[in-house]
Amino acid sequence: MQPKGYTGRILFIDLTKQKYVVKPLEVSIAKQFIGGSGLAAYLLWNMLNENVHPLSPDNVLVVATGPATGALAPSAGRFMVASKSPITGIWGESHAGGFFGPEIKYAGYDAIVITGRSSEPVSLIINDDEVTFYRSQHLWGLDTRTATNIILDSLGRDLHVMVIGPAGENMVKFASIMVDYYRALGRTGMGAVMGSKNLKAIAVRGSRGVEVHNPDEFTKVVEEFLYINTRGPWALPAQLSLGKYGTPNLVSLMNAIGRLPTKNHWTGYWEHADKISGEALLKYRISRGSCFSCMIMCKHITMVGGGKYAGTVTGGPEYESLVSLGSNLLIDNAEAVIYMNQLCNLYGLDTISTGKVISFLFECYERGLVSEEELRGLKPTWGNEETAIELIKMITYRQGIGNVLAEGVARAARIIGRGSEYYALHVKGLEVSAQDPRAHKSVGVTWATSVRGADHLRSLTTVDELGYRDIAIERFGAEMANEVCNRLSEGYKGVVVKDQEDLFALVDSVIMCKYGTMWPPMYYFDFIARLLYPLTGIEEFSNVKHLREAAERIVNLKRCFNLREGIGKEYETIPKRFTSEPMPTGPAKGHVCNLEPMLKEYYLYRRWDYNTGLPYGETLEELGLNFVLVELEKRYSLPRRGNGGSS
Amino acid sequence: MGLQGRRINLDPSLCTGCSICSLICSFSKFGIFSPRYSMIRIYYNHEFGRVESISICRQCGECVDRCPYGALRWSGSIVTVDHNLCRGCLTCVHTCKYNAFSVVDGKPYKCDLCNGEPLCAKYCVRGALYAA
Repeated sequence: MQPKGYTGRILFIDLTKQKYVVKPLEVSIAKQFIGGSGLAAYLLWNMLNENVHPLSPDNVLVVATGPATGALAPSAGRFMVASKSPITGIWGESHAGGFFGPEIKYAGYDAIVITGRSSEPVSLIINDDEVTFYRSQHLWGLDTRTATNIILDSLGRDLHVMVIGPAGENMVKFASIMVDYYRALGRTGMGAVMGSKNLKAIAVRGSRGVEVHNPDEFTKVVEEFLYINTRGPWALPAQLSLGKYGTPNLVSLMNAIGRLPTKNHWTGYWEHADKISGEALLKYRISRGSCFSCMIMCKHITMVGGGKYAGTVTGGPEYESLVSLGSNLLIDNAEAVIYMNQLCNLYGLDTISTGKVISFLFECYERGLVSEEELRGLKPTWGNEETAIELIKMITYRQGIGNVLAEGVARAARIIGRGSEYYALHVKGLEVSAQDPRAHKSVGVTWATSVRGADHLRSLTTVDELGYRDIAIERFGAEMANEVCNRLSEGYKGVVVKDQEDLFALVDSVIMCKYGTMWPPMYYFDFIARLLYPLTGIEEFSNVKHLREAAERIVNLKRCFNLREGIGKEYETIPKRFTSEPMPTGPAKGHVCNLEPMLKEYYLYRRWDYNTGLPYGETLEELGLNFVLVELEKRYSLPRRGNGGSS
Repeated sequence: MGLQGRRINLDPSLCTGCSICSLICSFSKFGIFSPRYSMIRIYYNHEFGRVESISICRQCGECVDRCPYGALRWSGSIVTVDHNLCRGCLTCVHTCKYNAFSVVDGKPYKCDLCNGEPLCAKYCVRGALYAA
């Protein structure tokens, strides 16, 4: 029986030959890997190998949706892209909301798999079963907004578009893809992969719908969804924070607990934080928006009406962008930050990585590690907004020092040398996100183990960050609750992160939003089980145990993808700044992150060998990943729990 | 039910463009999720975050007068379609000033206020949609 929820079809597009073919999605794969991130991991594991260069035609770009995408489920507008990342050389994935994902489902596909390289700039126009290779020389070089508008005006306003800007075309290693103007597939340089394929945009329109296995049962889920968001215990807190301010609300909250990255993560407290806080941004707000099928509605559009940056209209800026481009550079002019956010969106740059490479240069300059000659008259001093804006342009077009920074902070530090590596804050090559492991200890293990590098979206935990005791008791038991809720203690953080990573692996495959699961913690495994069974009719999905196992399978598969690339335990660490430099100021003053005990615990609960960082053979077998085991054993001798395993 | 003169209204300043109204509409009428099947369609400009236009029945009754087969009729103050009489000529669709019909399998469908409790208004958590 064909499960509902899925369309059961995957579209394979070869850009080199300009051909496409539709293949079925096997039910057994859907059962094991669910969709979204899990499905992409399965496809990429099979289609790639360790010899494929991320920017070569052989790399594969997967655009995937999940079973919930397009239905009336919590934040079910999300979709994801995955590929081998040009910035890290390992697993790369990025998720976005907006309205593009549902349109893929309505056009009749669960995923789109793109291979090859077009000989000239091209866009893909997908109209249900018809795929057009649309010559796009006229779009090449345009910013994301103009390109989106030209496509919509010439081909129909009801299309939904994902597009790269000049940064993606120039293969800046952290280029983003912009969706529906302001939603960004930001991290891990997916825009550069599109650029390397000469693919400017994908536009989709679909006339079908998402069918449901059991409409009566699903109606109950929908009613529950409405109840949770209007009368549930989290409804009001969500509306008063995310709803009213959006993610910028976090700026003052994070400053209050000393976790607001400031001055290239030198400290976690900034006395000028109120100038870029949610409250300060309210006066620039022109619209409150939302993604598809979302009742939280945290997407806002901002405009600067006067002054030097008059005429700036942009989505966001979100918390991560505000921090990366604001407090992290000591820029306290909210209008300048909004303008820089717009520039990054238009050029198609990841705001997090952009902010972190700029702050890296600022710190190198402060410490005399870059020469005036290399800078050609630039003055990269803290708080200098003109220089930061100039640098964004230089990175996009790879001019001067911008060409070095466009390689990402890890490679830039290797090029600059002179001890600048210490100030290059990254894990596995990906710039760190806007948290600080010294003020929130579990972030250390989150960053170290995250499959795509220093990343807050694979396993960032809020139970300890905000001290939700009830939830800690519910998920981990009363004994552990006190320790779990203490964000400044390392106790039990390995378990908490493992649990959260499993939840997010599932959320990323279903696909739902982190808002609703990360914060507020409204949906957990049990809700997802109640959602998926009536939607798909796959009986295993009604079983929480099966879902947890599927989540672990997805986490393990993605980790094995990295192991195949040779990135294992020796890279699972965090920058020394967080482990050896005590927090200099703020509420978390004096703290450092003691990573090892948390990491050890995490490995134990993951059923991986702590000494080698490899999964036990049995772990992979139990998860049904025998095909992964066979391939990994060509490279490693996987430990067995019987011989030498400590657990 | 006291439905005299009621129809669905939208306060565009509150609308966020989330599409939930369209989803619950298509789900309750056809059992599938697709904004294009819905009887309420809000065209939202994502660049500036504004409602551009809305397609929803104002229960004006113009289609009732034009239908050659008498398939559209007043039930109280609501215009309904009798699909047994409808032959799919789509005169109503072309007549409608508000682009309120959606056509599924060649037959026109329109808003019937869900028997007095419009689901789109119920599910609009912002309160942008209301029946009045």
